[in-house]
Order: sequence, then structure tokens, then C-alpha cells
Amino acid sequence: MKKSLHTLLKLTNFEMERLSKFLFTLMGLTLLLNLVGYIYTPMQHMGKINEYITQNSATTQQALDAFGRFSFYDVTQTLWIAGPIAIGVSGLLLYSIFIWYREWFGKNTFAYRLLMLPVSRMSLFFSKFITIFIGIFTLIATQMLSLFIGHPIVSAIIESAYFNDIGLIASIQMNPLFLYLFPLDFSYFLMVNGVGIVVLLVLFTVILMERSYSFKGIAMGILYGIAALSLVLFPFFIPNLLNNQYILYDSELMIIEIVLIVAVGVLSIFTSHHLINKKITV
Amino acid sequence: MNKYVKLTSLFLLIALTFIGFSIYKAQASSPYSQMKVVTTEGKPEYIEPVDFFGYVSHSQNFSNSSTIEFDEGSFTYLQEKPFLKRMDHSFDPKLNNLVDNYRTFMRGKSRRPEQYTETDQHLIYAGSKTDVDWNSPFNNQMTISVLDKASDEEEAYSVTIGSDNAYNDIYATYIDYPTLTIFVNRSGVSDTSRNLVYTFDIENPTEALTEVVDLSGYLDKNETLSVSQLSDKTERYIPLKTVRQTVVSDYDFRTETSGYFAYDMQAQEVIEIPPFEEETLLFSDNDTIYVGKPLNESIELYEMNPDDKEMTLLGTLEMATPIMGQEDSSFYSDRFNQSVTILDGKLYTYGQEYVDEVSRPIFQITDVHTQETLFKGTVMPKDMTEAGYTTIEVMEYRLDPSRN
Repeated sequence: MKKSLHTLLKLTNFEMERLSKFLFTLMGLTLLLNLVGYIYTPMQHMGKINEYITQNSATTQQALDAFGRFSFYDVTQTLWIAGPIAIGVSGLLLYSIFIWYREWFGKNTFAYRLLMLPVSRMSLFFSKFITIFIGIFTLIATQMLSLFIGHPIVSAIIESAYFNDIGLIASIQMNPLFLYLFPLDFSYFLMVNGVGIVVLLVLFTVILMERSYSFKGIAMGILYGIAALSLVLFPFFIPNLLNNQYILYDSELMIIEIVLIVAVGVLSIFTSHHLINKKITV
Repeated sequence: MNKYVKLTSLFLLIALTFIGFSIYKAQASSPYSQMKVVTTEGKPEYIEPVDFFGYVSHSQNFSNSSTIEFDEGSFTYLQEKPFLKRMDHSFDPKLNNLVDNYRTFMRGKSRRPEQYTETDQHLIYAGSKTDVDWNSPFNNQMTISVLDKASDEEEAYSVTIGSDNAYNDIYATYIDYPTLTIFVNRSGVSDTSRNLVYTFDIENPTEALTEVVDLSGYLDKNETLSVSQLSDKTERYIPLKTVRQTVVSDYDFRTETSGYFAYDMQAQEVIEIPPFEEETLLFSDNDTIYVGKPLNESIELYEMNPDDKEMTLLGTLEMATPIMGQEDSSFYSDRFNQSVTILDGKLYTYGQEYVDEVSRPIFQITDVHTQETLFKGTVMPKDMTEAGYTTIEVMEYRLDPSRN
């Protein structure tokens, strides 16, 4: 047990080393674009106010009536914040595919060496899986830290008369994007990450099917993905099948969903275990 | 150990940031304004039967808006309720109470409060097939379910309504146990619409509902029927009014009340109510019909004898503002008396008070016999600095007769 954990740690560290450059780039991009947003957005707002006051000889109150108060929430809604998140999510999604195929493509088939290692092949599977999740959580943590840095910057740029200091947490809580990314509501956070874990497990299984059976594996993978999605979506059709829209409470529907999502996750792990140990070819 | 430096650093970054964020979040004040009931006259315990869902918004930041529930004298934000509880949430306070107390009985039944009625011993549901099976709009099938609250036993009856298939909109149900009275709007495939009153004897069930009155005869062309929102659906008289719709333009129409009636559940007949010249309020409570004449800041309240229609003046009830008792803020055209109703000898009213940029609800409870104001008050943020920019609007309002 201890040995297999040590192996997993070593493989995860190895994968992390390979991911680090890409991850640090994403972290840097997040911080840089966020910083531009923290400076540019409030400056642009103050610029509009100053221009309005100069052109119309307006008072502070008139400017407030025209533009309203600016809050940190206004910055969190801009593309300077949402953009890096979208780049991070899509980047790591693509990396989830790349993390497997890089072993086969290139000058040497590194997969051969990896699969010949005298360790459980599932350690290889889990090391890649953990690496992706460390990447995801690192980007979330970076975004969190960035917001803590950005709040005082924004409040320093906007003159106090025009600033609506609703607080950092309130600004974050009001943005639906952060409701899913940050542990603001623990149930939502668990749900989103639970779905993310299972999607990644299904994706890994589909990749292993393709690696095991080639073209036939592509069809199998697509079918497996459709079957997993159908199974998870099935409960939503129960009311229609039973001709009664109120046969299940929404909370019960959610519990059934959670059970099915976990079942798909477990099934994907067992399928992947079988494929990586018995079927995969180098 | 040096070879794990990146992994360890990232792990520490994640752990410390998440822990720090959680601590900061726990220490930060709630983004939702804490609310309190402010009593300006009378005693606060009189507001206990009032349940409502409200919408709280800040004029400084409209995106920070949230739904608040006032139930049994305390406030809860919808966002602060447990996750699974939030999923079963309904914006109707009565439905929430029914789901909380009779979860098994409520399964498979529609979520329209007007289809439920109860006595101390029974909870009764009347719903058409369409209410639960949205793919079957035209039929003549209905289910009546009766729950014995003491034994928790449910008795369900499948009955037919009319001889032909139609879209059956059950918009009110009342009980004079064992007789269940059901108001139905039946729309046929050919666009014909009839307002009918049916009865069903729970102790001697039949296979079909009994049609007792066709209310369509009381309605002219372009008139619709509106039924009073009653908190206690065991009252003998059900106030009704006919509403005429006049088209003003392609996008707008005007509504005006054209007639007032009360349906007597015991005699199974419709009583015409003579209206006042200006505006008329019509209520029922237990075995009494009340007719109100709204004045500027008061209501002149009369008790009407249903036999000779003679009105006896009970007194003049002073209202907190001119709008109280005169404004009908119901969102539903087929219902009235949402913001003003009489329950067990008390007149409950609410209205919105506008102060500068914000508005907040005012509640008033008055004894109809002594004209004494039992409660007058409003809802405000506990933190008075928030009062200047916090608006509280009542969305759904109900009285719980069991707490009266």
C-alpha cells in the first residue's frame, strides 16, 4: 500500500513537472489579465465621470445620477476576469486529452516505457487524473488570490464618492460564475466538482478505448459517452414516462442524479482498469 | 524532497488559499440585509398568521437582490436554506407548509394552492389529469384525494367531470365537510368556455362530479370571473366578482368590476351583492358576508344579511395609508382579495409604502367589530443605515388560519 502510494506520488510529481510550464503560463495570464481589468475598468469609469463633469459642469451628485456608483462587482463581471477563467478551463480540458496522447506521439513512444514500469498501471491513470485536478484547483486558487489583490486596487482608483464598497465576499457571491468555482455554497461546489471528476473519468475511459481498439475504439468511446450521458439524464424523463410531473420531488431527482453520477464514475474507473491492464497496446 | 518542490508548493498554495478564503468568508458579514418587523401600533404577536415571500433589492446595487421568506414571525433568505430544501422550494407559502407537513400525500399532486383545502381533520386535493400530465390537455378525468391527518391514511377517488373531454382549470376548491365544492373553468376544443361549480360528497363518493351551478349565465361577453382569495376555505360564502375587459389598444386593455356575488355553499346558490357607487370590497368570514366601502384613508364596513340584502354598518376602520385596503395587488386575474381579507373577525391588509428611492410593505390588522387596530407595522433592515436603499416587495402573501 505504502509502496503504491509512493509510486503514485512519484508519477504525479512527474506529470506535474510536465504540466508546470503550461500551468504557470495560465496562472501568469490570469494574474496579468485580471490586473489589467483591475486598473483599466475603474480608470475607464473615472475617465467617463471626469469627462461628463468637465463637459457639463456637473456636480458629483449629477455624475452619480448619470453613472451610478462603481463597485468591485462591476470589475468581476468584465471579460478581464471571465476571459482567463474560460482560457484556463478550455486549456486544461485540452490538456486532459494531450496528457494521454503525448505518450504515443513524438519521436519515441514514451507510452511503451511507462506501461512497462513495474508498477500498477492504474497508478499511471490516477497520476494523470490528480494532475489535472491539481491544475484546476491551482487556477481557482490563483483567481481567488487575484481578487484579494484586485479589491484594494479598484477601491484606490475609484474616488470614494463614486465607490460602492459592498465588500469583497458580497461582490464574489453576486457573480454566478464564482458560485460554481469557489466554495461559497459548499453543496454547489461539491456538485460542480463531482460532475467535473466524472466527466474527466469518462473522458479518460473514452481515450483508453480509442488507444485499445483504434478506430473501433472511437465508436466504442462515442457510444460509451452517449450511454453515460443518457444514464445521467434518464431521471429527468421519469415524470414524462410515468405521466406525472410531480411524481418525484426535485430534491429526490437530485439524489438519484448524484447516485447515477457516482455510478458512472465507478464504472469508468473499472472500465479504465480493465482497458489499461488488459487491452491497451503500445 | 527537492524533487517534489513544485507539487508541494502547488498543494500548499491550494490548501492555504482555500482555508484563507473560507475563514475570510466566515468572518465577512452576510451580503443579505437582516430584517426585522417594526411595530408602530398594537402588538407584534398579531402578525403571526402572516406568511409571505418578498423580494429584497438594494437601489445602490440591483444585482444584489434576493428572495426572503417570512414565516412564523421570522425571516429566512432562500439562498441561506439547505441545498436540498431549496430544490423543493415553492414561492407559495401554503404549498411549502403542505410539502413540509404532508410530503407523502403531496407526491404526484399538482402544485397549485387553490386545489387544496383543509379542515382540522382532513386535507383534500382536487386535480384534473392535465394538472399532473401535461401531455394530456383535453380529458374529463379528475382525482380527489382525502388525507386523514390523524391516521395519515389517504383515500383517492377517480371521478369524471362532465361527459365530454375539455381543458379543466380548477381555480378554487372549498369544503363544507363532507361536501367539496369545486370551481372549474371548462374550455372545449372549439374554444367555448364555461365556469361551473361542482360538488363531491366525500362520505358518499360517486363516479362523477355533480354539476350544481353554471356561473357562465352571470357573465357577459368580454367578462371573466374572479374568485376571492380565502385563507380559510371552510367559509360558507365565497365572494365572486365579474370583471369586464375593455381593449384600449393593441397592447393594452382596461379591467373594471362589473358585478359582485357570493356563492352560498350550503344553499348552493348565487347571491347578487348590491355594489356601492364608487368602489366595493367584498369579504366573507365564517357565516357572514361583509361589504366594505373604501374611503380616503378608511373603510366603512357593513355586515350584509344574505336573505334581504340589508346592510348593517359595523363601523369605520382607519387605515394606515390611503392605499391600504383599496389596492388589490394580486398577480392573478382570476383571484381577488389578496392584499385585504377578513379572517376570524380581523381585517388583514397590506400595501407598499414608497419613501424616496425605496419601498417597503405596511401591514395592518384591525378588529372588525371594535375597529381597534391590533397591529400596524412594517418590515425594515435591522441595520438602519441600509434602510435608505433597501426595497422590500411582497410577492406572495398568505394567512395561516391555524396560527390565527
